[in-house]
Amino acid sequence: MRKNKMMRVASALMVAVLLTTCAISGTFAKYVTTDEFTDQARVAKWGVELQVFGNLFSDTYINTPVKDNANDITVQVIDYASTGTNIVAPGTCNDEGFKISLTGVPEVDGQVSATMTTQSIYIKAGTYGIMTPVSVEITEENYEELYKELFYWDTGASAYVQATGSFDDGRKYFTLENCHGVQEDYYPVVYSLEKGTTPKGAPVEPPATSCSADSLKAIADVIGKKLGLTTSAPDANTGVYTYSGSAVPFNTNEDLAEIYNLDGVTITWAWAIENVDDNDTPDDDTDDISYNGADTILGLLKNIADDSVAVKLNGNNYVAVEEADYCLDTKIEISITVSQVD
Amino acid sequence: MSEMVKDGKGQKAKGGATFWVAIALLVILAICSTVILSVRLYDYTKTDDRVLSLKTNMDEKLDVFSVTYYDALGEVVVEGANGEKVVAPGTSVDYTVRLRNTDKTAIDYDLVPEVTFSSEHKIPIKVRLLDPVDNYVAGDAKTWIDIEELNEISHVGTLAKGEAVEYLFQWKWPFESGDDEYDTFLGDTVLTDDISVAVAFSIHAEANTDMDINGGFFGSGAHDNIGLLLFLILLLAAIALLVVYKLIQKRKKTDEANEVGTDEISKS
Repeated sequence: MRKNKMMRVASALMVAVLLTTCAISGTFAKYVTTDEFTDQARVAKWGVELQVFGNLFSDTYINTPVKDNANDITVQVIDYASTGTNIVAPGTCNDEGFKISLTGVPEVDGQVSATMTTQSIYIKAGTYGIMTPVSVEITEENYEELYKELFYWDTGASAYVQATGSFDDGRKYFTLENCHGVQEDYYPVVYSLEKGTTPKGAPVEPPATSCSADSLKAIADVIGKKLGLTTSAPDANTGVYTYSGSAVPFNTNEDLAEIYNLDGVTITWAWAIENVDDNDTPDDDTDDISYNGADTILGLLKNIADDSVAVKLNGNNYVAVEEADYCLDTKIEISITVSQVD
Repeated sequence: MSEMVKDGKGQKAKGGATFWVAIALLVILAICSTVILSVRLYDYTKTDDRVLSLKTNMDEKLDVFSVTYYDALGEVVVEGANGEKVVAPGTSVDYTVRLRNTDKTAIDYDLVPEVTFSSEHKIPIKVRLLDPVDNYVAGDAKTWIDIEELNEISHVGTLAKGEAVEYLFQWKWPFESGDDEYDTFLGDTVLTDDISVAVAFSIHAEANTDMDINGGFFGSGAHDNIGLLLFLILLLAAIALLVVYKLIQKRKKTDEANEVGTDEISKS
């Protein structure tokens, strides 16, 4: 009996061993694993904000409102152009200005490249007038009375010369109108540069400006320095300065406002109704230079009658004004490009 | 007669010892099989050790993207602020994805890449993927595909015990993508929105118990096979002992029957 029980125990043990052997075999075959690895990145920031905005000039300017009394406001509109052409004139200005703003902290290397041209209204020092054909017939009878005011074109001298006492009925006689002297080179539109309200790094230093020098060029030089731009002599006929240069690089995560200092710089201008050069002695008005005559000449140069000639004094005679003697246009053109470098 | 009785007692003693040896063997085998089963189930259920590791240069994590990128002169050209990984036009990486089988058996694996964008704005990244024998799984020698096309690709293979293979994953954001305006749009929009890309490599691995792949019965070098063989030998030995024991018992009965007949003849 005991032996039978032991046989049964032995059988049960054998079955148990066989079963676990099968189970172990199954675990070898069914082993499975799953895994995953992930990496992530975002786009690198560019965020460069380049703004060149504002209108420097207009075809219409509004005069300063003047209160006649507590309830009335008088506004005078000055409108010289009917065709929409931008103009400037004595008494006009733009104090809101033309703004340049370059900001951002890009996470990539890059560069700023730019071009710029400027042109200023000016007239060189000299005596100018308008040689106008006489409106009356010059005869031998009235010549004696009038000749001191008369001029004629001398082909040999290539100039308008003062008439002499001898009447020549074959000559065409002229009178010199609106003769004005310009004591120093005159730039009537005076530009000003204002640095941004929250300048970073080494902010631009606005140059001192006046009507006796090219203020726009002085400002362009300051801005151009920040943008790697330089210029040489202006165009002889147009007075245009062209600025060019190599791109100015920046590195990753650099603040462009700190590097280029063009965060909200503003260019304004004004053509005073009466420009006066304080000259060498600020407190002495006797040597001040008034440019009213120059303003007049510039205005006349813009509107010369077909049969009249703008002239300038050359020695004792008058010659035709040359293109290089004056410029009636002003502008500033600036193009800035910010790009990533590879 | 007394010698025959003595022989009978000797055979009886021999049979009893055989039986207990067999029982002892079966008990030992039962204990061993239970232990082995427990160990295997433990290995099967534990999750902290990875038997299929995804590594490159022995790093434990994937570094497909970078915080900083350099030009040919070693100068930094792109760098994410605050240590954040970034991508930008002109950036590229050739990344080695290394799979190593650290398990005790061969495995069949399925490598599945997956790409997701965080926003509706896709990043114009191009990619290629080469398998361990430098065949192109994605793209080819002249062609790069859009990164989102990786979602349509997978690759299968088998790794023997301890074997490692390498995949080469190449990505680039072309500097001249042909749409500078869109590139700039992404670079500006990321200041306010999340525009990012995630690349994942999923691995599904299953044990391959094929003898040839595992180096034959002894080639795997695992104690398991030898142990299993020993286990089977002992099991067979225990069974054999039981059979022997039964034979001995049967013979004993026959001898006792013969002995009784001889005694009766002698008495008569």
